Amino acid sequence: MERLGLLPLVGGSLFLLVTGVANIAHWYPWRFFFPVGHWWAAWMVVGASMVHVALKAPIVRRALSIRTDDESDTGSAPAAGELSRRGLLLTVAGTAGLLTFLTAGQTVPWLRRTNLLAPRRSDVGPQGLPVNRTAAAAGTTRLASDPSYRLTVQGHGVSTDFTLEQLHAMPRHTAELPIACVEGWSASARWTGVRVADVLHAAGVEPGRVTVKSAQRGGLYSSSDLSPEAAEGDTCLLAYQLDGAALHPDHGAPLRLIAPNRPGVLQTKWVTSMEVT
Amino acid sequence: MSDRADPPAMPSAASDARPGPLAWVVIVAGWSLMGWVLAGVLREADRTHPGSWVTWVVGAALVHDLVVLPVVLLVGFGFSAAVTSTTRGPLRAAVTVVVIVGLVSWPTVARFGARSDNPSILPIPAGRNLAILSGAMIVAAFVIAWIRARQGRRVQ
Repeated sequence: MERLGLLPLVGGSLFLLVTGVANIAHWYPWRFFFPVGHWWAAWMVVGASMVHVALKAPIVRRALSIRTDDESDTGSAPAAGELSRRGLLLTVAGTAGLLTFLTAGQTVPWLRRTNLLAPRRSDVGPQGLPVNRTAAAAGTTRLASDPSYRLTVQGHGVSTDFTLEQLHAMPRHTAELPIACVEGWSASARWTGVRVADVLHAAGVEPGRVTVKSAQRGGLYSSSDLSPEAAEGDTCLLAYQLDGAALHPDHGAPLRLIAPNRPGVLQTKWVTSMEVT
Repeated sequence: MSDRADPPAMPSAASDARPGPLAWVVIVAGWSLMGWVLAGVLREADRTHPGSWVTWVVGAALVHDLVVLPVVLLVGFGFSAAVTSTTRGPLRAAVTVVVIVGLVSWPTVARFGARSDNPSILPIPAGRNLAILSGAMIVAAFVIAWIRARQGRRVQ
């Protein structure tokens, strides 16, 4: 049973490491949907770890309970050229530290200069900000210049359309907020737009849970939800400017959601409608 | 790795190593959890693609045991036979660091996920950086070994 339990423990742990590393580099040589496959594998490793620890606990307990007065019982110093346990642990810890040092700059600004091996730079992309999905990939390149573009707000029996001109005429707000991607990079920027709460109020829709929908082609993240509290937030914006300039199509022009305390994948781009329930 | 510290004699080792009642509860809970995982993977087959998922879990374990482990052992024997004891320690540490850093950054270095329409993905010349880093680590290992050898000669 112990040997059988090692298969999910070793295989699952390597699965998490290998697919996770490939995922952040946007390489998907498998058929499963990565977040779902990763989630199930993580629980499998939890179960396999429980079995392994329970089976090994008596051995560990017994080894720790033995009192030794003889120094030879604690092992002998390694000969020249041999690797000691301490040496192995130091090598592993040093390697982990070096990897962190060489990649953390994709999210920690003061380590940007040592970012030599990360899949991202937090300052590279349209308007100096990375993107995961471009307008071309999402099929929304023409949305920003489409004269027929409307933002539709629906809820509680009310439906109202807004043109971009109408949205630009509403009180504008600016907030410094990060795009924090679950893949490990993050970058802050200054976003300008209209408050979601103001738009709902202008539409005559009672506050509630808001589903923000995108014009993007397919994908599981073509919409996201805002809780009633989040939708009422002062810095919960539908942005049309980034760092004082018109939003680039790759960042979601003509309108994108930007709000605090949300992973980047839920900062919905190319917003075309909001539904309140 | 040397593992020369023989474990102390352990009385009634066989009986002490058996799991107690609490351990059995944890073992049953752990296997139940794994059963729940398998059921979930099969239930959400449209998103988990069980064949692909299982291939990667089992394949990772097989590659680890049948490829990585033998290669590491062979390299270890090679080090023991071909490298002097003074050089072995620093060089082994350097090779370990280079191999692990190289494996972890390999998808970034190989640029499998690069896309022409999105230059913000994989913008760093990671291959060049890894080569420079690896060279520096190996050179540093030989320099450390050389210094140690000189110090050893002085002591003698």
